[in-house]
Amino acid sequence: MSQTQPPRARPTRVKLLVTCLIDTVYPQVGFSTVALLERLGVTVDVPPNQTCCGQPAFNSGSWDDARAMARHLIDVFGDDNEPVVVPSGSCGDMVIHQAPHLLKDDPQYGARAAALAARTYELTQFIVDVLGVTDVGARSGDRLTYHPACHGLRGLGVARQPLALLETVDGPPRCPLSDAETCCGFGGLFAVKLSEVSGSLLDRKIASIEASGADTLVATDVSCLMHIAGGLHRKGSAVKVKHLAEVLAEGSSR
Amino acid sequence: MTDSRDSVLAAVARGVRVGTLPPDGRLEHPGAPPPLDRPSDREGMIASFTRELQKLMGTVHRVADDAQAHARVFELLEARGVGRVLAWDDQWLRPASLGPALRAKGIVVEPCWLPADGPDRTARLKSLDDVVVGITGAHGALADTGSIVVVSGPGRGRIASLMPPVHIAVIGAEQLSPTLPAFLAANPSIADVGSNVVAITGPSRTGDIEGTLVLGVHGPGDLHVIVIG
Amino acid sequence: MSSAPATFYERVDKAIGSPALQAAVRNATFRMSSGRDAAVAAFPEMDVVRDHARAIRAHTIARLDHYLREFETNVQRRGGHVHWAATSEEAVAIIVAIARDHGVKTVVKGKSMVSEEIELNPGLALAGVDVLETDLGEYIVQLDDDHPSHIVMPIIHKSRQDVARLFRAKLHATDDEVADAPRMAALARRVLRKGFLQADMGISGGNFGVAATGSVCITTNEGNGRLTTSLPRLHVALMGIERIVPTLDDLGVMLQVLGRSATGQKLTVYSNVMSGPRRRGRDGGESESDGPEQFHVVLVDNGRSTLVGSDLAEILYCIRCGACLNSCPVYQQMGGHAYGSIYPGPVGAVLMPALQGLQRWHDLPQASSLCGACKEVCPVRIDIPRMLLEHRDTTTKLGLTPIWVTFGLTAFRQIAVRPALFRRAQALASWATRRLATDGWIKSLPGHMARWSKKRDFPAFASKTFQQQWEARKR
Repeated sequence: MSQTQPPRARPTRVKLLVTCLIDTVYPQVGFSTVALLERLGVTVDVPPNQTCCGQPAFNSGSWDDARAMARHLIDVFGDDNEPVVVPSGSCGDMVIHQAPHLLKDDPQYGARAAALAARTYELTQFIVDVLGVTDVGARSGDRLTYHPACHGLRGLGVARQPLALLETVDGPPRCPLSDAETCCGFGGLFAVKLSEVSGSLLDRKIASIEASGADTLVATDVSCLMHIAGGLHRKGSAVKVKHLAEVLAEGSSR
Repeated sequence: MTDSRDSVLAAVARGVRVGTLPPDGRLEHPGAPPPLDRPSDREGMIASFTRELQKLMGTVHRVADDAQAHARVFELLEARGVGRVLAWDDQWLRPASLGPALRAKGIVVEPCWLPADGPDRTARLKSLDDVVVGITGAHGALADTGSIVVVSGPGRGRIASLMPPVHIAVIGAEQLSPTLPAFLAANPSIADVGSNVVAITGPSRTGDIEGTLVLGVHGPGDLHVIVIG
Repeated sequence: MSSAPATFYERVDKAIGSPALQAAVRNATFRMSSGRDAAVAAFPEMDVVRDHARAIRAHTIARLDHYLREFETNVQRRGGHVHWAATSEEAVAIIVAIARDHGVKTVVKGKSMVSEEIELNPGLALAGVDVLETDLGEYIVQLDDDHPSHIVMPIIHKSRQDVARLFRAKLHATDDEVADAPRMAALARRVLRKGFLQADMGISGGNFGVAATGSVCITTNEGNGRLTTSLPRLHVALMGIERIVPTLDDLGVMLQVLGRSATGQKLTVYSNVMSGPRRRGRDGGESESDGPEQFHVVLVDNGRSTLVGSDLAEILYCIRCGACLNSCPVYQQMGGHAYGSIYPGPVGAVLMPALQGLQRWHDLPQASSLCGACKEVCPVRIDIPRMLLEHRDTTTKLGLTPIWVTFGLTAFRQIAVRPALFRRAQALASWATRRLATDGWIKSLPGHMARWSKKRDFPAFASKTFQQQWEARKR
């Protein structure tokens, strides 16, 4: 569905696409991602001057704005062969699928967008499919439940990789989440434009989380996590939210 | 009106010429339907047909021969106190001896004939409206969905499998096909056989009112298929 | 939709504010989507057959003029008539003319979304023709002067009590007659039966037209489709021009995915293929026992031809199974009436603007979180999210996107392509959110963002960004 060209040799060096949300709101997720990759023997570079991949503009139909931001991102990441890892299914989908399509008629950036897409991986895809690792030696005391973020799940086809990684986390058994694949209701500007429906879906997701018996919700996308955390906090819930990278980087059972 | 025909076709043709490919770029006809791996032996097909139709609350009666088929039909009629049926013409029923046997038992066998025009047609329909049982054969049956394929024709009226609340279809086991694609492949000219070809998959049903399943809303709610052999 | 609240957002609020509606829609969509999931799980070839079904539709639309001509030729070869309607008005006029030419006073009608689209019933009523809807859900809609809220199950928004009340009022039903669903269905059957027996004309929709044989296929569970197209002396089938498949084998493929995707049935109870009127024997040969004396097909364009060859051509592949509605979290939360359109849900959000313009329907493509569930369940793999995004692009180009959105996004872009400026903006946003926040959370955001705050808190941004901290560590 997304990557068709995994690198031939096991990579030892990658570039991190931090994403504007992680950069601005949840930098700890960025550091967890780095720590995790380093533990797996991969050196992480962070190209400077990262801003935004352009997805919010793209989703809102402001495609010229989206193209401008996509071009900037391509400039930031350069044209070498180093794999790019992104701890987000929605930004990943933007870089891997949408940007090449948006820029396909651009004489300079079209080919570069396609080349960047070909070496970009969502974090769990990279660990499981490229590094071939499912047990990262993580340990957690939390009762975890997992929400599969839509863009990662359906846009990139990332379904089994996060589950495989969670499976090997040493700790209490995972709590199944009912209605798990139903959207949390974030959808970017949708959350504001159609806030009634968004709120209704958020209630539904939180009801599933509360029924799961978990004390921590895990996801691979901070956009969902920000939305769900905001709802949990409004309700006065004690349930925490964590990005999968934070869980995996946490305790080490080695 | 021919103007609209021309303008619509011209508009479509313009779009076809522009021909923006769908994202996957495939435009050729994909060819024969994908094969479905299903039992095609007689016992396997009868078992599948029976299971599927019974799941849908139809009833399947397997009998060894024509005489037993007669007997089963009579039982079904007697259980309902039925003295009048709507049926296909004798030579189209299975077995062909069923029609005469019914009449010999004193059962009134109404033919499916409908007049062409308004008042006579309505009168005939009204006179048939209280018939409780319709009896037909079938052109074939589909094992993996529990369906019978009923085709209209001279002496094979649509109304026999449609108007009465009970429908009895008598078929031979050799009429079973494994699947719908298999049936269509074996019967490529089926549309030439009759103006109405219907795959009947269980009794009539609706879930419109709050999702509650109700049988026999307009078509027959009680479907019996007698399989000979 | 004249009785509905004025704007899309008002309709949405009304829907979300009705717990009874929400429960009804949730239950119905859950039932249908779990039925679909079970049927798909039990059908190992589903993916292969879906790919094949999509290829058939893609091929047909890419050669639609050819197949329409072939279809017409073969309908006529069997003694049927084909009428072409460029617009809704023409389609209504054609059917009214057929009715007038044949002294039609009463019509029985099967379910047809196209008939809603062209507003056929009012047109026939104006011409003095009585129309009786015979699909149970559509009959209830007609009795109640309502509109269907789902393209397959018209009254998922009504409870059993709603129907009982309606039958008491309009049919003078006794308490016994409305005691439960089976009894109400039986009452409807009795009433509608009279209609079937004496109607002059039956009007049906058409799930598929088969070009090679000149056939029209309709699928129903109740049997009203069969009665509508067999008992009256005239049959008129109403179909969008895009509902063509090349051969009967192709029809077989479509039928394999249609029932499973719609309700979880392997096949709808009556999959009815009609090829022309009742066949009369030639040269003294025998005629068929029954069936309509005349068979008319009315092909409706109404904007569909403009989509052929466009970026939106894929929406013409739709076989109206309703799976996208059932799987859509937005539809599940608000039901069909909120959309205010003939075709609601994901397919409607693409089709309505495509057929009738974004000026009128630009709200619908916004009513999506782009979760992709619709694309996942579509039996012909239509990429609805892609087309919703196309509509959003066009909406902006037409100047229909609200200013605060376009201004905000352009401002954001100007900042995002200038990293030094972006960093300053991040610092400012961080400071602002931390000032507004208590214990790391903001209860009430200002301006347009206030709508976020209705249901959730907003986090204070980090005091230092990841990139700032990363730079600091390197030194």
